[in-house]
Parts: sequence; structure tokens; C-alpha cells
Amino acid sequence: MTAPGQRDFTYRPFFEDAPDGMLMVSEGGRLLDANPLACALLGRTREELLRADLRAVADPTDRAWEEALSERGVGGARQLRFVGRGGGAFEAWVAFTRPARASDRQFGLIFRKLAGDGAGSEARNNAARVDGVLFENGPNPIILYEAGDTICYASPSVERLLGYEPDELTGVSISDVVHPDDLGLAARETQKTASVPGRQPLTLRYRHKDSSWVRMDSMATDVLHDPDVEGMVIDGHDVAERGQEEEAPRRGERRNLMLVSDPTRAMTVLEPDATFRYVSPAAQRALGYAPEELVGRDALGYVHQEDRRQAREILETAIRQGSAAEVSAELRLEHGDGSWHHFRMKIVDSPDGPGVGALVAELKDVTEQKETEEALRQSEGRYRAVVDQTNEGVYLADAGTMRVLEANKALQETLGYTEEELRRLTLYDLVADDRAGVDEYVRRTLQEKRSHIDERKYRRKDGSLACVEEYAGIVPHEGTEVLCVVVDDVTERKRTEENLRRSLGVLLALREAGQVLGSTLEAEEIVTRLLMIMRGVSGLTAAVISVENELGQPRIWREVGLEGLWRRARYAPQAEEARRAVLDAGEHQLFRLRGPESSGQLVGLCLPLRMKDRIAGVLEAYGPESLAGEDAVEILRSLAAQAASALENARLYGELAERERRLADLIGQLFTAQEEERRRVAYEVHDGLAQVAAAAHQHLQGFARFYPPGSEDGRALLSQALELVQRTVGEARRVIANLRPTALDDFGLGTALRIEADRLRAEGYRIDYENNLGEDERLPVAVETALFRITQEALTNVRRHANTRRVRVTLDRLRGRVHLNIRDWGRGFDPEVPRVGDGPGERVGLNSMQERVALLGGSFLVQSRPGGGVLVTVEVPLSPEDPDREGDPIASRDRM
Amino acid sequence: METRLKREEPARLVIADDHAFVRSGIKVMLSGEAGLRIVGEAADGQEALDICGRERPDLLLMDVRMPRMDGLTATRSIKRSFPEISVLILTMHENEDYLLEAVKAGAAGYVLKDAPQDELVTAIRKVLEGETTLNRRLATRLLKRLANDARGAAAPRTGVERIAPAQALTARELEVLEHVALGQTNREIAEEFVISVGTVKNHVEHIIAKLEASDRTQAVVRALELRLIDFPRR
Repeated sequence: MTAPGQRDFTYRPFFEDAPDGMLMVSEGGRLLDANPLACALLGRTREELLRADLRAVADPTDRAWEEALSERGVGGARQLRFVGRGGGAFEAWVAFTRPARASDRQFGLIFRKLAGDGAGSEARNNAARVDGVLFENGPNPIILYEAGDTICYASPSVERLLGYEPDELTGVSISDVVHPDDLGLAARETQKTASVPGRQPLTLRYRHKDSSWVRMDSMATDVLHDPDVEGMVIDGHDVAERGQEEEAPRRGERRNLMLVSDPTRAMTVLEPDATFRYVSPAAQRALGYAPEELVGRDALGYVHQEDRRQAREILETAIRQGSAAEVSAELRLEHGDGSWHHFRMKIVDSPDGPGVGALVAELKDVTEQKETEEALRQSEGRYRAVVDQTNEGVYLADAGTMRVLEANKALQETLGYTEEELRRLTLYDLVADDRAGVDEYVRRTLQEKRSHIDERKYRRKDGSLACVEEYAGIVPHEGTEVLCVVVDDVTERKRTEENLRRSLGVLLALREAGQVLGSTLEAEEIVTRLLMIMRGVSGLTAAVISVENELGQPRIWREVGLEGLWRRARYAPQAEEARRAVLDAGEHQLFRLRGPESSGQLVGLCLPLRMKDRIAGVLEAYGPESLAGEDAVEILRSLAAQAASALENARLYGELAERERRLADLIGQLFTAQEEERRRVAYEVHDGLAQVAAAAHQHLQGFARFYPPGSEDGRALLSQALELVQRTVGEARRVIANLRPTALDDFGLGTALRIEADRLRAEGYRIDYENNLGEDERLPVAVETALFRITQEALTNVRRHANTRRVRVTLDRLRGRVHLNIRDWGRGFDPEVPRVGDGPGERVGLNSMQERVALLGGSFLVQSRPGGGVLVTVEVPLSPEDPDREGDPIASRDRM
Repeated sequence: METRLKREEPARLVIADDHAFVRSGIKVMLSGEAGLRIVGEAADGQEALDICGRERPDLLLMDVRMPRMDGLTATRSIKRSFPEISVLILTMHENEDYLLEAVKAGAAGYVLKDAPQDELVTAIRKVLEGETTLNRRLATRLLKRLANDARGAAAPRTGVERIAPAQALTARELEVLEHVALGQTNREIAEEFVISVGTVKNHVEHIIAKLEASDRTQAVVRALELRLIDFPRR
């Protein structure tokens, strides 16, 4: 840029001070020149820009550039996007200058930054404000820097104060310019921005080009509320002109005094030997002393002995480092009232500091805070002690991540984890529930702020489950709310309860077994009930009772729950072997079966059913591992023994019953045979003897008519003969009636009894006979015969023993049963006392009555007391349960 | 029946009994009795029925217990086929249940096998004359039972219904019938009504004819069945 440079120089001031960014660009796009504002806006130094291309600052994503460059000079200003230093893009109004001469292979580019995308007029306004700030050509230096701390502009007056060319500062970090110790202040100042009104300027130390420090009152201004710029203007004026070093402390002191006069801050100024030089009113109040009690005295003397060394160290550090930065400590100071107060002491200035050249310490009474903290700490301690010592597991868990935050010893012991291990776990790991269940539980707890006491299972480290009672609540923890869960391990209690319950169940079952097995003699029922009881007691899955068949093979008699086993589980070799062994050796056998795939393991128990000296069967039980327990085996053995004896009883009873049944059959047959014989004889007499006698009577009469006796004696003999023959007929009649009245067959019980009654009446008895059956009603032959014979027997007894003539016989039918009562008003007897003089026939009489009734499935009762007569009550069902017994061979119904 | 008495030829009798010696005994007892002639003998009920078809006797002396067909069954058949033949039951049984059964089956009377000769003859003659052969005590009980049976049979019907006989009885005849039902003889009835025995006989003849009965016993049974008379009160 030689010749053009010359010429250009004419425009240089304009160029330099232009209110817009200006760039000179070669036809090839190289940047030939850039004015300071352009540098500032683009965030680069001039040197950087001159080494670059227009493409480096033109946003490549903005397609409008191509068009703009090809048409440059033709169109007016247009909106284009630039790229700043950090890659931040901004919109700007761009005008292109026409080259002065056609030969000039360069053009000018003037741009003005827009505040926001397309925010036309406002952007221009803001740009004008930037102009206003930037080009206020006042005496104070202006340094513009971005949020990234890079200085993007320094006003010309900077040169005068700091010795730099403005360009030299562009692109330099602000931290390279400001004293390191003041950077914090600078940063804070920057953060405050211009929104805080009435701010005091801040004194910052700036590095002169000659490396000396220049103090300048500075005030940061948020230049633009434009996020793209985020720039700060430090408007500074020097507070200590070079060569006025002595005056600086004085001025600083003034400022510091002003600072310590702040009525709200407890400030003290200390000499390097730690004597009080100054104590602000707030500090006087805080310490509880009058100023004259403090000034000139050793500050360390007021510090608690234990804190004194620390206090001294801090002061020494502050003096050594000459820092006004954060040096602070908590110290106990003796208050004017003699108590110890906690103070936070902060050194805000030091002898080498920017202020008064003395130690300035700010004090803050934190006693109350301290006490609160202590109280908190103590209560926390107490809480922690309680939590740690309690037998209940307590843990905190983050409701969001479900992570365990803290866990006490009890929980560690319950679950078998260390606290560290627990902290790595989540609720999902601890609670033996699926994720959804845990989520739902936590959600509900959070919603209700508390949970109800709940039973839940937790996983231990060893994989076993712990039964717990759980209560969860929400507690604040480090600023957030977390779940506090209290778990009470009730596994043992549960187990005890369970054991108790089982023991009780066992007792009840054994009692029930005793009752059941003692109360029934039905083998089927014994076995069925036994299996049910066993299932209830020992929690077994299935039980089978097998007995040996004729071939000596065990065969299933009864079973429960076999469907709960896998198929053919009973036919596993171990089971077969166990059954065989029990039958052979009579000792119980325990074995284990493994089922197909997931069906798991099964415990099998085979027990002998021992009857007297033989093993009649095998009791098999299948169930979970608990079945193998000594208790379970013992219970089942006891039950099996009971069952075996009950079965033995049932067998004996069965035999007895069978024998009795046969006996009854025999008796029945006997009665039947007797009855049949009687009837046969009766009809024989009727058809034979009686007829012959009657015929003889007829013939004798016929003979007498033809040959009448001639004499009185003859007539007497004849009539005697006739009478004898007729008596023979009468005797025959009586014999027939006694053997078996034909009326019983021909007309039935009602008529036969009436005839009997009539016969007794004829003998002079007072007989009430009441037949409430139908006149011609017929009952089953066996019933008629039995009731007739019983009545006959009873009436015979009355005739023989009762010594009365009053008898009542009633025949009724009620609800399908025939009721026969024979009542006399005779002398009666004491049923408890065996009657003296009873013949064997007597007993046979009563016994046969009883037998007859029993054969019909009825009931028979004799009631009597001395002097009270006798009542015989018979009840017989009309449709006997056993139809076989109805069959009476005497079934002929022929009349007369 | 009056005709039987009025005509000169003897009444024709058949004896049915399975015992030959009984039949002969009866024959011996009846031999020499005027106006009675044995025209046949049967050894069982079936034979008796056959003989009745052949001989049409006036009276049958019938045993009850017989092989093949018993006496009561035979009586029922005979009364169905030959209502004019009277049956007199001859039996060993002496209680009224048998008598009742016999009367129900259609028998006019009932005589024990060991009865004296004159009793047998009287019974035969009474039946032949249309008189009842029942003694009063038996008759009363019998009729009571019959009345009960009739009531029982009528029970399902509503109201008291008198069934009209083929020919209506006169008031007088009904009065006479009630006395017959009481077991009174014609002479007793005549004395009670103060009329002649012949008039009573006439009434009884008419009653028997109107009720289509074979004898006075059956007339009473029929009258009770038809509920023409009530149970006799006396």
C-alpha cells in the first residue's frame, strides 16, 4: 500500500474515526484495510484482519453475500451477516463503495451492526448509542471488552494514560491489563452492569505499558443489551497520576475510611502489630466495647485462646500477601459482656492493598448462626445416634433416582450390606418387588407425604428375603426432599408366628385326627379324612395311601392332591424303591425327586401302615423341603400310626358287622322257616285233620239219622260221640289259629289282630283294639307277620304275668313307619332287675320280639315299672332300607 | 224262589269240596230230606263252575279252600254268569271276616262244616226260601262293614247320591228292606209291621227281583252298595 497509501492518507482521519465499520477489500477478496470500529465489531485486530480474506468475516451461510459482491456498487445498502471472533454472527447494514477509478482493483465496504435479526430501526438506534459511547472523544479512556474478556476497543486516550496504542490493546485479554488481585472486583463490577443505579466507581489497578500499575476509578457500563455484543465499557480515569505516588495512600485511606464508615458493616482497622487503629460504630456494637476500650489495644487479646494462633496466621498471611482477597476465618472474640461471640473475620485490605495501607478486617457476629448450627449439629447428632442405635433399619433414598443415600447399622445388619454397598444400591435392588410396584409405592408415598405401615419383603445380600414392616415418610435432606424409610425386620417374628400357627394347626389336626379316627369305623372315611388332615398339617402337596393287592403289589386306595405333582412323579425309581422298602422293612423312607425342568425338587416320605404284626399299606406324602423336617416326619408318622390302628379297628368292625349281618340273616331265615313251617302245619291240620273230623261229624250225624239209637243210653252215647268229634274240629281250629291264623294271610294284620282281640275278649279280657290303618290295608308280609307275632307274644305275656284283664293294642302309621303299642295295666316289672323265676322261654319271648324288629330295621322298646304295667313299643319302617329283607317266602295270598 | 217252593219237584243242589269224604258226609246228612236233591259234585271251583253251566242247580254248597279255583273266585264267576243260582258257603272258618268275604263274593249264606245236621238243612232251606242265613249278631257286623265299605267307595263323590236301581222300590219295600238288613226273619218283620208273613214274603220277593239279587242277603248287599238304605241303627 504505497501509492494508494499516500493517497489514502488523505481520508485516514475519516476512515479512522468513521462511525461505521469500514473495510477496504481487494477484488480477490483480501482485506486491505479495516478501521478500528470494524476491528471492534469483528472482534479482531487490524493485523489479523489484514492477513485475512473477506470470507473470514462474511458468514458463509449467508447466501446473500454472493449476490451482494457480484452486484457491489449497484445496489444500495443491504443486510448481510458477519462472523465475529468467537464465531458469533451478527447482522449489519452493508454499503459498498464504488472504486474511484476503474483501474482500482479494490472497493470499500461500510457496515453498521444491527441489534437483532432484521430489527431495522431499533438496530440503527442502538448502533447510534454505541457510536455515542464509543466516539465520545472525552479525556477518559474507554476500553470495550466482550464477555469473553477480550478487549475489542480502546479509546485513543488510553495511550495517554497507559502508554498503549489503542490497537495494541485490541484482542488482548482484560486480565492481562487489570491487576490480578483486582480481577475479582472487576468481574463483580461487570456482573452488576449498568442496572444498578448510583454506583460508586471502583478503583482498579491497570498495567501501564512500562509495567507499572496505574489506579483508575472505573465504572463498567453495559453498552448494549445486545446479547451478541455483551460488551462492557470500562470508563476509567486515573486516580493516581504517575508521579503522585505519595498521595495515593491518602486518597485510598479516605476512601477506605468512607468504606469503614458504612453504618451497616462492622469494620476495624488494625495496625500491622494487630492493635486496633479504628473500630467502626457497627463493630463497636458487635463487640460490645466503646472505641476507647479497643483502640490501641492488641486485637489478639480479645481472641479466644484457642483461636489466637489462627487469627495471628491470618493477619500475617494478609500482610505477607498484601492481598485484599478472601482471607477470612471464624474466631471467638470476647464480647464486652464477657461472653464469647463467634465472629467471621474477613480481611478486606492490607498494608500493600489498594486501600489504606493498613489491615482492614470486617467482622460479622455469627454467634447466633453458630448456636443454631450447633443446636442443629447436636440435634442431628442425637438423631443420628438414635438412628444408629435403633433396632429398626432406617435409610434415606432419593425419590428420583431411587438411590440409597444413607442407611443405618440396623439396616446394614438386617440386609447384610455395608453402608458403602447400600449407597451403591437403589430401592429396586432392596425391595423384593418389581419396578412398577416400587415406582407406584414411591409415587404414593410422595403424594400422601407418608405411607402406612406396610408389610414388605426386602432382598438381603445373600439373596434371601427379609420380611419387614415398613414405614416411609418424606424428609428434607440437603435442600431436597427424600424418602426416609423405617423398616422393622419381622422375619423372625413371622417365622415364630408361622411356627406357632403351624404347631397349633398340628395340635388341632392331631386332635381332629383322633376324633375322626375314633368316631368312625368306615375305612374309606378314615382314609379320606386322614389325607385331608395331613395335607392341612404339614403343607404337603399330595398324599397317597396304598394297600397291597392279592399279588402283593401296592395299589392306590385313596389320594389327595396328586394333580399337584408332575406326571408320573410317583413312579420315579426312588419312589418305587421307597414304597418297596417300607413294605419290606416297615421303616419310613425319605427321598427327594427332581422334576422336569422348572418343576423343582420334591420331598417324598413313605410311611408304613402297620396293623398288628403286618404292614398293610404305605402312606406316601409329597411336598416341599419342609416335609423332610424332623417335626413333619414325626407328625406324619403319628398320623399314620393312628390311621393304621383306625383302619385295623375298621377292619375288625367290618368283620364283626359282616358276622352280625350273617347272623341276622340266619335269624331272619329261622323266623321265616318257622313261620313257613307253622303255616304248613296249620294248613295241613286245616286241610287234613279238621276236614276228616268234620266229615266224621257229618257221617256220624248221617248214620244217626238212619239208625237212631233206640235207648236213652244210646242217644246219650251218640250225642257224646258227636260232641267229641265236634270238639276235635274245634281243637283243630284252635291249633290252626295258634300256629298261624289264616286270617293273617287272607285279610292282613288289622283283621288278624282283631280276631286275636276277639279271642281274648271271649276269655273275659277288656281289650281296646284300635286299628288306625285302613280296614283292608295290607302291609309287607314280613311286617305283618312280625307285628302279629310280637302282639301275640306280648298278649301271651299279659295273660301269663300281668295279672290284669285290661289291655290296649294300637296300630298306627306315621310318616312311613308303622307303630304298634301294646299296653297293659298289670303289675309290671323293673327292667333293671332280672326277674326272678323267669323261664328261659320268657327271655326268648322278649329277645325274639327284639330280633324280629331288628330284622325289619325298626325299633323295639319295653317300658315298665313295678305296678305301672308294661308298654311295648314297636316302630317299623314301611320301606326298609335293605330291600332284601322284605323278601318273605311266605308270599302266597290265597284265601282261607 | 217262591216258585221253587211252590213247585213240586225238589230243589237241585250241587256240592263243591275237594275232600270226597266231606262231600259224602254232606250227602249223608242231606239224604232223606224232602225237596232236596244232590244233582252234582265238584272237587274244585272250576268244576263247580262247569257243573253250574250244565245243571243250572238252585243252590251250590261251596267249600272255600280248593285247588285249581278257590270257592270265592268260583262264587264270583257263578254269580256273574248265573245270578239266579244261590251259593251257600261251607267252611271250617268261624269268624265273620270270612263270612264278609263270602257275602261280598255273592254268597247268600255261610255254614260251618261241623254244623249240626238241622242247622245245615235250615240254612239250605232259608236260602232257598229267600231268607237270610246269618244270625243277627254276625249280620249286624257284616252290614256295618258293608256300609263302611260303601261309604268309603262313595267318599270321592260329592254329596249323598242315591243310585237309582233298575226298578224303584216302594216306600214300604224300603222299610221292609231295612228290617231285612237288620237280620230279622219274615215272621219278625210281619209282627213288627202287623202284617201277615205272606205279605212280608211278597215284599221281599219284589225287593229281590227289583234289585236283581239272587236272595235277600244279596239284596241287602246291593241296597247298601246303591245306598238305598243306611246302616241299620238297631
